[in-house]
Amino acid sequence: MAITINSVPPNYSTANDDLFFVVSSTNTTQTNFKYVFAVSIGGSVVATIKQFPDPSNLKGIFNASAIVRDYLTTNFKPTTPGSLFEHTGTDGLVSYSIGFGEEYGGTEYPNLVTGTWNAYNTTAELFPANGAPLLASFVSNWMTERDLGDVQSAFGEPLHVSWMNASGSSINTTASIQVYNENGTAAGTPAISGSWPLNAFSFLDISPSAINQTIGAGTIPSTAFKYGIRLNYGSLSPEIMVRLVCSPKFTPVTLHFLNRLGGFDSFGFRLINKQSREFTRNTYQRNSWQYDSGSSSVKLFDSYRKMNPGVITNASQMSVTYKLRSDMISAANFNWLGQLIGSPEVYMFQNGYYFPVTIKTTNWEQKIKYLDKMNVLELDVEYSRKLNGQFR
Amino acid sequence: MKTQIFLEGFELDLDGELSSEFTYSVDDVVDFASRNTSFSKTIVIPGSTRNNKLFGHIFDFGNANNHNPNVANVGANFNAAKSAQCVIMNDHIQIFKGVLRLLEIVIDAGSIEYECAVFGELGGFMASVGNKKIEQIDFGITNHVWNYNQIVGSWDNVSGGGVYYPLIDYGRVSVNNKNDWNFRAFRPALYVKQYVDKIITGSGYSYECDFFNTDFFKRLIIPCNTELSRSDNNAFNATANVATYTTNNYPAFTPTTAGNFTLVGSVWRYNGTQPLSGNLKLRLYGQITDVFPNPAPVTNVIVSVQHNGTNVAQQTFPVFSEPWTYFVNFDVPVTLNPNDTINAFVSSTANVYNVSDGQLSVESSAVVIVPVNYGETFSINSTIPKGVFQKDFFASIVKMFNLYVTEVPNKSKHLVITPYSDYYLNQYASFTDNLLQVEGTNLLVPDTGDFLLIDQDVAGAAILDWTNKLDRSKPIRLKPMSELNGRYFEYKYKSDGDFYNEQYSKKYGIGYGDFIEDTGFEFARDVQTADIIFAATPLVGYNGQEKVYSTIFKLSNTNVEDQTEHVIRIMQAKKIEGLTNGWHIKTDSGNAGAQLNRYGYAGHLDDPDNPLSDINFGAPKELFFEITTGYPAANLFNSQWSEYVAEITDKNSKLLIANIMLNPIDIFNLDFRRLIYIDGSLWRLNRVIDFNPNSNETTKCEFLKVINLTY
Repeated sequence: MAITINSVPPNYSTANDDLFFVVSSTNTTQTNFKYVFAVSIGGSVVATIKQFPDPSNLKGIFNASAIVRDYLTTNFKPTTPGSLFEHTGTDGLVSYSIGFGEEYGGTEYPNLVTGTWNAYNTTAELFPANGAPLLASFVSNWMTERDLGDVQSAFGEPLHVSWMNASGSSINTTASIQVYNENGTAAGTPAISGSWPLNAFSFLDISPSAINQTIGAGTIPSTAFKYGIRLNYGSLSPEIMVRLVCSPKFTPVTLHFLNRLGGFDSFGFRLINKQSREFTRNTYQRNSWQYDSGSSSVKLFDSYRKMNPGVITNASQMSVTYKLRSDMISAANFNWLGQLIGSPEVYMFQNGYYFPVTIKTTNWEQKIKYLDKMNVLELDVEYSRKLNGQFR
Repeated sequence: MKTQIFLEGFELDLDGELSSEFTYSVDDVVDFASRNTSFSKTIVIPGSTRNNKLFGHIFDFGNANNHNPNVANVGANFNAAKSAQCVIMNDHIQIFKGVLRLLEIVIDAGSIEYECAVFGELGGFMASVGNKKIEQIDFGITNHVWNYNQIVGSWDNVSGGGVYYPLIDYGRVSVNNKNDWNFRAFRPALYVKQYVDKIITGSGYSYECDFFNTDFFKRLIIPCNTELSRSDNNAFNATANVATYTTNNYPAFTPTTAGNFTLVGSVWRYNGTQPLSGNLKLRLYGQITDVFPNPAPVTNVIVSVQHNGTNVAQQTFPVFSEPWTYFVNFDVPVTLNPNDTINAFVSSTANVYNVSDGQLSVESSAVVIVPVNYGETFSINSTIPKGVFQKDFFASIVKMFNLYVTEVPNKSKHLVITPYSDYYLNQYASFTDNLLQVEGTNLLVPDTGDFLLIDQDVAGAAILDWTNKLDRSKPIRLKPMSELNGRYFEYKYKSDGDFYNEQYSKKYGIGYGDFIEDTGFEFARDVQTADIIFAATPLVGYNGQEKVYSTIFKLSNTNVEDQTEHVIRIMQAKKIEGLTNGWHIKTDSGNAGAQLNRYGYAGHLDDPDNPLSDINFGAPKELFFEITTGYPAANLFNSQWSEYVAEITDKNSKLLIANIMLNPIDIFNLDFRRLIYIDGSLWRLNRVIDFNPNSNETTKCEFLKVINLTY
């Protein structure tokens, strides 16, 4: 066989960074030799790439990431009313095949060697090491880097989190909910959910409303101080501790966002959140005189004695932005929320619906636990729709 | 998001409301004889995942997707060199339909952007036609035999389809003092309508055009502009006559492809000007029925193939008894020089012999161009003028007949083609009547409860009142057309070097069939030209001859007619009947058929004896034949262009440039055929410039003042 695969990307590689394949051939001395890489997704060829051999080593070096990443999807699929296990599937990874072939002498020899790989929707790593990619350490774990011991929620407010199994596997899983007293002691025994077959990626709502909806009313009583949630997939997951908050002084705004691991997180801004609006308007000018058919004359006013306008506002638009302020948060949560500022998919929960918003804030600076005691996150968020005024 | 762009039916992602601007136009009165299509400024489309997929990941440096032209130009099949169907909607109202062209891919800091532009259907059509030539058109006509019946039969059906064999004097094709004509004067011609049909439909478009179905248009033809020839390896091919020969050494053959060979005595002479290398082949089968001396015990008969009288292959048949069967099959390399001869030969020892079957041929080692002779078969497609781009052909037809090519909003890849004279909605009469009825008392016709002259339900309106749409806060400009047009408008056929065209242009300083209109504008000095790819063809008649025919030859210094290759021509065809003097179509050896009292005419006039229409732009200053009924006024300028020119060259002709409050519905209903009424004046909409569907701003428009509704 003429083609040999020399190297491929490691498992759990992200599609948002390079996915290099290196191949070699015994035919590189042929006239007009090119390597052919046919990328298939879902059984269909989506792109064919032809490259001359690298002149220094005659290898074919192909980076599949720019093509593969176009097929990534996310799994933000909340249900109404919310439930603990909302969605499970393989969203968040792309399974792609590459047929490695050759072309020389004007003839193409496709698919001499083929293979299939997975790529994931994580961000590129800041300090990529030679070891396993970032996501490899989140297999069978919560797909979040928030402070698991310091999560807040309120009744009626969704609280999303994602879970990852070994890719491609489906595992029957239960949830264990333990209510805790204010002094940290367990209040009663854990409530156990029914069993759910969870696929590679799962999207959960661990808010008290969703848990009560799924396991039973009163699982989380309104008087509870906090509760913990674990998943049992044969082993027990780390516990997420959720503290209930209530009677807010200000109207909270909750954002739900794609985190850097490809999962979704939720965070409530519970201090003063302000809305602001910016208006634009368009005008044009027409004759102030108009023909009046009743009197067969030309007049400056109409039959209702309204003077005809010269300049007319024919359209106006407004854009809506919010300045959101968090309550005091830990340095760990502040640092985790850096992912919110970089997130490309953010929703604002309002009146039971998720409205896409764009984060306008562009800067973030790390907080150090022993240095920065009082951490408040302020964000500028723009509502993604421009609103029409009244046309005329 | 109000704006949506659909590429081959798939919606593209946009990174905001479309800020691109669209210009709509069918004509540009400032650019004489040009035709315009709608277009956009550059549209920047983000490299989102969906868009990357729809553009087939073309951003990848090594992208080399396979392309199937029969599949939608999108996804892994996307080819940036081909147009892709595109529809742009604003608030679900179609504001643009045509094709999208990918201009550039910008990768900036890892972010991909596609810079595109869209063009209207005419632009898409021209892009689809691309650089195809008319010789690439497959007319689907089976091969023809060039003979009397084919030629004469074609004159009976001048209907825009099929093949017509006109009489054209190509030089040295007349016999008997221009009365009889060699078959070579009747080269095949295809109809212009066939060309136009094939050009449009061959590019995947459909069209509607009443003008193309008129008798006038259906009699336009394009004659073959070169000597009829074939190009293949078959330089000569002749079938042996089934016959019995007595004391005759030369069996006879009838050519199926004579090429450059003629029969001289009993041998075939090569008349080419260059040496011909190839293979000389003889296959001959028959019986020797009498030999001399009688076979006692044996007489040898030699059968051979000869080159210049010398055997180059031979076989000896010892005849022991009579009859004796012979069969030869020779294939020998040969190089024939001009005037060399070839023939089959049977030695004189065969006193009587017959031939049952056989073939004499020369197969050239390289492809050769050989003339088609009388009775031979040729491919119609080989007679199409060479080197002419389809887009130039189509553009020339558009210019000749001042055609407007527009589109309809609800039909994709469909052209509506209309002459200028029929383009504007023909409801002037009722409009004028209304004006006249109220003139002096009330110029504006009230439309109940509305300020508009014509209701804004535009579906049936011929005239729209945009008085209240005019933005008076923006500058309003009026330009006299005398500042925009040239002094002279030239309508030109392509010049050619044949005798009559050259003589005419030397004598008069203008080409035969050309026309120059002097606008009289004092401040304009330049010339604006409408030129076409066709050359004009002078008609010539001779004393004592009834027939008048197009003439395309050169004259040598000794006044001998020489045939010449010539520029593509366009003519009107008609069967002319009732000649008092009979005449014949001649082969090289005699009459091809019965005497004729009719002929297949083709020329710039519809009928040389009683002309009513002329496809010259202007009347010639000199005719090369006698005309008794008067020269027709209905030439191309008068019939197709004069109204248009009158509108743009009148002393009161003006271009109004003003901003109009247009919305997507106005654009969807945009119809340049409708006249626009503003502040008591009537205008033709010339262009909508840089319409931005999302700006809510007024749009600059150009209007040409209506001078007269009818002429």
